[in-house]
Amino acid sequence: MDFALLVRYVNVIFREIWQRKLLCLFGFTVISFTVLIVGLFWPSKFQTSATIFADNQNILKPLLDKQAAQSKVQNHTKVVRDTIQSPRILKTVIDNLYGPDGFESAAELGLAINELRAKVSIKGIGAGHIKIAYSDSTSEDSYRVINEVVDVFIRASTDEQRAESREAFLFIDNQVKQYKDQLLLAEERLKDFRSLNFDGRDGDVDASISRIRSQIEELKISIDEDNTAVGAIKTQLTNESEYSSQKHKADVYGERLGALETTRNNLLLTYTEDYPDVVSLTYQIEDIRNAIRDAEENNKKVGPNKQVDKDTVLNPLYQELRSRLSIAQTGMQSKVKRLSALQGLMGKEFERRKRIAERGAEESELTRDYTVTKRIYEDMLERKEKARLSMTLNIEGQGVTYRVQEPALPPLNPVGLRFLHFVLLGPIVGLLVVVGLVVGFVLVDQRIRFPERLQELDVAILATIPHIKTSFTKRMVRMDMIMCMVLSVLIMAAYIGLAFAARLGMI
Amino acid sequence: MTDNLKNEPPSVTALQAVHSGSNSEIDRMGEVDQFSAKELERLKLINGQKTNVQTLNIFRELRTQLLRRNHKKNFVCMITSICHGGGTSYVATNMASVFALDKTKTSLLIDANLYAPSLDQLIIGESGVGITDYLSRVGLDIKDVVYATGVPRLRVVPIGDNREGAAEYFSSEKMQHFINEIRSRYIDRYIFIDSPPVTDSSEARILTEIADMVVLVVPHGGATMDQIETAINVIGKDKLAGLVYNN
Repeated sequence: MDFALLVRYVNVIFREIWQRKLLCLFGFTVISFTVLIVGLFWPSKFQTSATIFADNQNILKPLLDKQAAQSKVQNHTKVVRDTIQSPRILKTVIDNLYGPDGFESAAELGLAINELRAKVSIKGIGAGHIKIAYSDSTSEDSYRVINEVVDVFIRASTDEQRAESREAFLFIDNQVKQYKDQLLLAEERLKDFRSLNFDGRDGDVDASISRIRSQIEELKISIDEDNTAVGAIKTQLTNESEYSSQKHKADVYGERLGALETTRNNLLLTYTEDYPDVVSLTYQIEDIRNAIRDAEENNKKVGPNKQVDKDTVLNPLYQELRSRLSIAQTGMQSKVKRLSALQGLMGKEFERRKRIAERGAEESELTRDYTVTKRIYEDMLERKEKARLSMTLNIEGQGVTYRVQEPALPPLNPVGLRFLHFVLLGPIVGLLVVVGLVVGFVLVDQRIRFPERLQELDVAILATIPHIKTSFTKRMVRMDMIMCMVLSVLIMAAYIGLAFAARLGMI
Repeated sequence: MTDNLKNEPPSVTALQAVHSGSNSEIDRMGEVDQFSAKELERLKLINGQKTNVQTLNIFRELRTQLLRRNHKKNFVCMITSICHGGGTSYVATNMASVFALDKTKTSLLIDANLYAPSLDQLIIGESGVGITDYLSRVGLDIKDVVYATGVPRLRVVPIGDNREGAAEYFSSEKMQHFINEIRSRYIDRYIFIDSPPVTDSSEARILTEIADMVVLVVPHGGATMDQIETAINVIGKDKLAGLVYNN
């Protein structure tokens, strides 16, 4: 659209406005005053906001890091918005603000909740910071409501946190109980199995067998030793006579006689024969000679291998050997007996091992069950303690996820459109609307306002007659203009007067 | 219009209604007092020497075109519009005036605009019987209904008082006779019919039959293309001399 055409359009529009000047003036007046009146009743808006910080922590995650996968919360803003805009939180806020019976009907309460939801805005401002804004007609209301909203939200989220950790604890506790039951069951099964099968385990049998085997070896060696000892003793016994002979007695006497004679001879060197000691010794020698004689006579009478008389004595060595032989033989016999017993035992052990091997699969399954369950149970027990700790922390308010980063302040100035804006906007809006309507009318109206369009028809255009301005019409136009200006001035005076009156509080 | 009396007050000019049309000489046609410049201006009539040269030239050009179309013979030209208030009378009056500017030509303006007759104001003095009276009554002569105006060489036939059944009168033989009569009386007389909107009235269609040519006035912001096309179809392209866009 080039400039000339634009100018012509402007001319056409001015002409249309001029043709309907009173209507346009009326429309302008109505619209301006409407805007002014809207401004008069436009509620001033006080906006305040608080910033909360979302800690990216989850109670369950550290507890269940390996055991269970956790869904990660990415969009805190959405979570906070959904939470705050939930009917539960909003209703709590309303109840706190107006009391539980603040509204007569459920419909009114619903409306109040919806209104609150519309007025609260939640916006993420990055890095876990979330801005909660609220606007109301007065500064106090605005401040009161936002504090209530933030309080209720933080409290609710804390409660939720606590509930979450308690639930986590209860969950783990429950799991622990289940595992304990499983463990007990496994234990019971293992016990039952073992009570029904005394054979013990593979290792036991092996140990027992090796023990028995070594005992048998030892016994065998011991028996061998005993055999050798018995043989040696028996050989000795054959060489040894059962009784010791009289000759031995005479020999003893002979030695005594020699000793006595030596002593007498030594005495005779110094003393005479009549010396009492010599005399005594002589007698003694005589006695011994007699004894020797008797003994020799006895030996001649009895001879060898003749019944032992009262003078024959048993050979002590023989006696000793005999007793030893007896002991050795007894020991050997008992060892042989023990060897056979051990061998029997070994056979039994082998049988037992066979049985154990047959039941080994069953047992190892039971054992595995038991071991695994026990390991998990112990692990869960540990986690349960952690959960208990987390729960305790939460109950003491330590693990809060949301905290107020920047508390709300009472707003000092209203935001949005103020009365002055409306006063200024009124005439502008009125003018724009009127001109806009006329422009729209010209654009929409099919009637021809540009003679060029007639060229589309296959008919000669004889002439385009300009608008005739006679002095009369000029005068008329001038009068109309004056009238319009006067009217405009009056309207604006009324407008400004009304605006001032409203500003000064007269209305 | 060199003899235009500038300083004469308007009230003095309204003297009497002189019936004309009986003279054979153009210069001897009964002239009454002429309009003053102010009156001309008030009636939005062009004149030969006045300030509004642009409009005058436009009408002169229009005159040239119409003459060329009819090979400089006199004709009956009907001026009609798409809608009421389309400026038909203004165009008709000025066209008649511009033809009358030529001292060798006279123009006759017939007011057939039943719904908004306006040509009475051109007549100085009281207007009496008009075209409808002539057509409906017996005993009236043509000269009885032709009036002189404040413009030299411009005559007017007013609408008259008997407007009911005008469509029938216009289609009557008497109407045909009337047109033929006034046309043949002076060969340099150009006849213009100020007609009602063509799409709105049956009279206009009947008058189209009588006229040699038709000029269609398109008012500013008054007609859509569809309406114009309908009007053109009603008139017929052979009769239609062309469009005049009236700002």
